[in-house]
Amino acid sequence: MIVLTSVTQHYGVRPVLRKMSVTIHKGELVVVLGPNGMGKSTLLSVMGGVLAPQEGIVTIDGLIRRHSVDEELEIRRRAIYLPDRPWLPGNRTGREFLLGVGRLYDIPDARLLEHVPRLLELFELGEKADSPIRGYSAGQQKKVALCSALVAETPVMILDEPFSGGLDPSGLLALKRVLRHLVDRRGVTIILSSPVPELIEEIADRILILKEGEILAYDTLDGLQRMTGTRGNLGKVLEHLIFPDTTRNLAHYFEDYAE
Amino acid sequence: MSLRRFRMLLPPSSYLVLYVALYLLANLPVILAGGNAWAPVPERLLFPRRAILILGLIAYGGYRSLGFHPYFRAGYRAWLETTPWTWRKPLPVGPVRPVWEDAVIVAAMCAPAWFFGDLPVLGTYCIALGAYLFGLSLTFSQTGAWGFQYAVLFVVAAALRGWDQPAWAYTGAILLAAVLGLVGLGRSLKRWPWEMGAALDPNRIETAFNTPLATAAGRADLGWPFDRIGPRKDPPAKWSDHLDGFFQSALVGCWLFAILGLIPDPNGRAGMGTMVLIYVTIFALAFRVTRYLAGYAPPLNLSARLATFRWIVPSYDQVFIAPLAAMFASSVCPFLFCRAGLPVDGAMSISLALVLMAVGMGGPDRRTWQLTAKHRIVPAVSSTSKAKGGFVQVG
Repeated sequence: MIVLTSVTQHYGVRPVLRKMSVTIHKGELVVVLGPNGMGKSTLLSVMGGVLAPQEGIVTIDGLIRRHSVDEELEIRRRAIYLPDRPWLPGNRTGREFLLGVGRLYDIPDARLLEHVPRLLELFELGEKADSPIRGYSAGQQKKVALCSALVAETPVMILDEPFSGGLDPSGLLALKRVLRHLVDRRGVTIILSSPVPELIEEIADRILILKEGEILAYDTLDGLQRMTGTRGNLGKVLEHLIFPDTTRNLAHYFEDYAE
Repeated sequence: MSLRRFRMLLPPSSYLVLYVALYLLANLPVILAGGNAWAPVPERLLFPRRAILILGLIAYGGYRSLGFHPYFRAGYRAWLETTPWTWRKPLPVGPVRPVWEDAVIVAAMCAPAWFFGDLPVLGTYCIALGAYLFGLSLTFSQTGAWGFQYAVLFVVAAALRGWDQPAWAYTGAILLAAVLGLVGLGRSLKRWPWEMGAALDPNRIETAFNTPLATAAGRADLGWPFDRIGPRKDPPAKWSDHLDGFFQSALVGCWLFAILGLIPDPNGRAGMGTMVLIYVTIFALAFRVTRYLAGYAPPLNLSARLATFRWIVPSYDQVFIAPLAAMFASSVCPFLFCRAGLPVDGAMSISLALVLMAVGMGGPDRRTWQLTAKHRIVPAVSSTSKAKGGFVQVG
């Protein structure tokens, strides 16, 4: 379980997260949605331990982030954070990289030697597995980064925009199925961000919508539909919740155009 | 039988030939100036052959410890572990303790110098023995004889400082260091086989070599974010680490004091001491700051600090206390010590030790600070690494 209590985060003068409190239950897949620059990545960075909030605390499975050495070390073993644009070791092969990450998270060698080839095959990286990562396409690099988050087998996964970065349709499908499987069968807690509602509608247990550093809504799709009085898909819900300006702007644009 | 022992102890013949050639070459200025090597010549012309002889003695002393001690030879050590060797038996590739043949070899090296009066007899033996003990002392911390390295190196430094004193002074110091070194050696050999770190364990490297996991990268090689926020395996600092920091800093200061003692001119001592102090301070600070701060940025930018009146963020800014203390020790302490009546080389040496203590031992503890302080953890990929394709950014 991830709990944020009254978290405020800013680097400059403008707060990016304001007094944010949120709870993500064990075995839940939560998706953070919101316009660009509203604090999605900052929120995930705070949960992932990359940023220390100016105020408030983050707890993961009852352990407070950056509170003590032992607690922080235990959190790092339990939770993996993958930013949207990680740096990968260009001279290592994809297989070596994944083995290295697995070892870092103390996955037994036998399990790694069995799991890594299956992951590489799932994401269609089998042929490139033994080539240096610097020779991979952007989409393949994204895939190997995602594999690194999966190979660690942590009970908590914090993924910043896992569906962006040039994933092909088969990669998108594989990732969606794998994440849902981890939540349903293994009780993994997953929080991820995405700017594209259509991609996550079918996998999200709850959706957290951010606007200007605050929680605009945090509920299931049904709950959000009730809240907005809409029966459409998540895109329609978001139109009402966070993109009313866009709808108005579009109408205005076409009126002008018609004239 | 004895010839075989000599062959065992002597360095490879190519090195011997090189030494003899250099020594003969170093006599050229004397021959050119005076017509023959026996004629009285100015002191400055004797310098090259003296320097070559001293370097040769240091090389031989170092070779006797570095070349024969299993600690320095991973393959030898790995093989020795497979044999029933114990400290009661002689080491298979040759003795690591000094033997009488060493005295003969040093005598053969120094005979011309003794004949011409270039160096005193006791002095030449002290140089070779000092170099041997220096090499030997490097083994003690990891082979079960912790503490002996500091004792030996402090006493060898004292001998060096006493080089311009009567021969009994530095000879006595070197003999004391030799006793300490040999006791330490005995203790470390009794602890065989040594438990050494994985990085120095050839068995682990060799057995893992042919598996796919052998090339799996370490934490630092895995890129961002694993290098910074992945699980850490480095152990917490022990009390002995702090003790090591203290002794190592004191030792560097002590050796600076010993080396400055070899410079006869007081102004030269002051100049050399100042230069060493400045350069070591710069490098030590750069090392410390990089080690702590690479990838750990301030939590607030300057404008936010000013605007929110949080000019100091204690959790983060505590990391600058030790570097500031080091800068103080480097810039102010020499003057204070000199005003207190210490000689300039003593003032520089103590200041250097204080700089290194501040840099090496000053809090906060790096592991604790990096895990718990309020910083922003950011990618720390060097531009060189990017340019060489060492790390590639996704997207």
